[in-house]
Amino acid sequence: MSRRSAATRTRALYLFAAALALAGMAVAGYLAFENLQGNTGVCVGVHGCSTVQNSRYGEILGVPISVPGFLAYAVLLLAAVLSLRTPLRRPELALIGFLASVVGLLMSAYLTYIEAFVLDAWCSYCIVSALLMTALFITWSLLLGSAVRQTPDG
Amino acid sequence: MPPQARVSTMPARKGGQSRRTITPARPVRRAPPPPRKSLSLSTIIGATILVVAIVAAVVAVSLYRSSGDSKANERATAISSAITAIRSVPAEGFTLGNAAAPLQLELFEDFQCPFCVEFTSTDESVLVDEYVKLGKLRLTFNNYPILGAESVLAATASVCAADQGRAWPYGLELFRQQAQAGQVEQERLNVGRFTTQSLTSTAVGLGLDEATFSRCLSSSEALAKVQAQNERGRSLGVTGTPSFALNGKPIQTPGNAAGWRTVLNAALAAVSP
Repeated sequence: MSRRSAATRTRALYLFAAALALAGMAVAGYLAFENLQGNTGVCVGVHGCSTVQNSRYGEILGVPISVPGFLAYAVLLLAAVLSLRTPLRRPELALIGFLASVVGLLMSAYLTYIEAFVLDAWCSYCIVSALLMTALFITWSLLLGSAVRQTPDG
Repeated sequence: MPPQARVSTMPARKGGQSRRTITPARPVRRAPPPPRKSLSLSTIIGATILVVAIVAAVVAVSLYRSSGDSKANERATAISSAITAIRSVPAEGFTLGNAAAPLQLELFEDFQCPFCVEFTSTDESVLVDEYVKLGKLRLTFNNYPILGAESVLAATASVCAADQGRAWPYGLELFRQQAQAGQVEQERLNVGRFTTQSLTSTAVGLGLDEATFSRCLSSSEALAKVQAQNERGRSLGVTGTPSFALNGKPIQTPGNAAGWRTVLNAALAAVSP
């Protein structure tokens, strides 16, 4: 692959990561807004949104889990946007994006396990968020690999 | 931009003047960019392990804390059930159960005491269900406030509830509030859970007359009744809560329901003709 086409591919991946993060912010932001007002949001497609969100697994350190989720998506969006704007993409930004996606993926995996095997209830927002986080993890893994290859001794 | 000749001023020589020299033009060379810091595999792996450890720790702490909340809810629910269960049991003043029961158990408790909350949410319902309701046992609650001002205030309030015939449901409700607040999991004393206002509000919630209750709560007579119960405990050698006396004799507190059954069955066998 030529250097130009590699750069185009990397840029496309950053744009894709930004779009995914933006979608995640919309989902988590809506849910966080509803949760902080004591609601569980409109449950679409599946039943069990309130069961999941009102369970003891729906909060982390007393905060609705959608709030740290929203913050994770915000970090991912920021890392992608800064990488798009920085002339020389800093590998540290790719590492930050990758680590944020690892956190998101772990939390999503944990919540999905709880939904499937503990609560036997599904929350549509959690499913969408888990899919977005999985896609973000794959994207940021590719971007981190690309950033490492671009740096000497990487 | 074309290269230009540079004019520089040389420093003055010793005892002389400074002089200007013209050096030949040289192409301007940009300083090379600083070498980009490499991102080694070990850095990535180390950072990932750190992040995974932090997430695991946060989830573990959160689950541990919420398990405490869950236990508090369970205890509160158990006491709510006990409040419902005693509705059918004859009660008079601080006593609960048949006056002619062969076994008389005196309880000495403090409404802020975590062990009392635990006893109320677990073993006490065994006593009520298996002995009191069958006419084998009568319970007499005694206030023994030893944990500060709010314990004394709550004890006085229970005396006022007793005056209106609701000592047991009122006392159970105070224990339920402490259970719900997580007193067993984390003891917190005199932190504003029992105030004149909250105790009155609880009384009103149970259907007691507010004016009568409020008058009683500020009366010296109610406090004197608390002191009388306290004296009863002292005379039996009570030093902590909860403490128990069976048929007038202090007993060592059984640690669980099975222990209570052993003690009570033995006592029943002893008093049976």
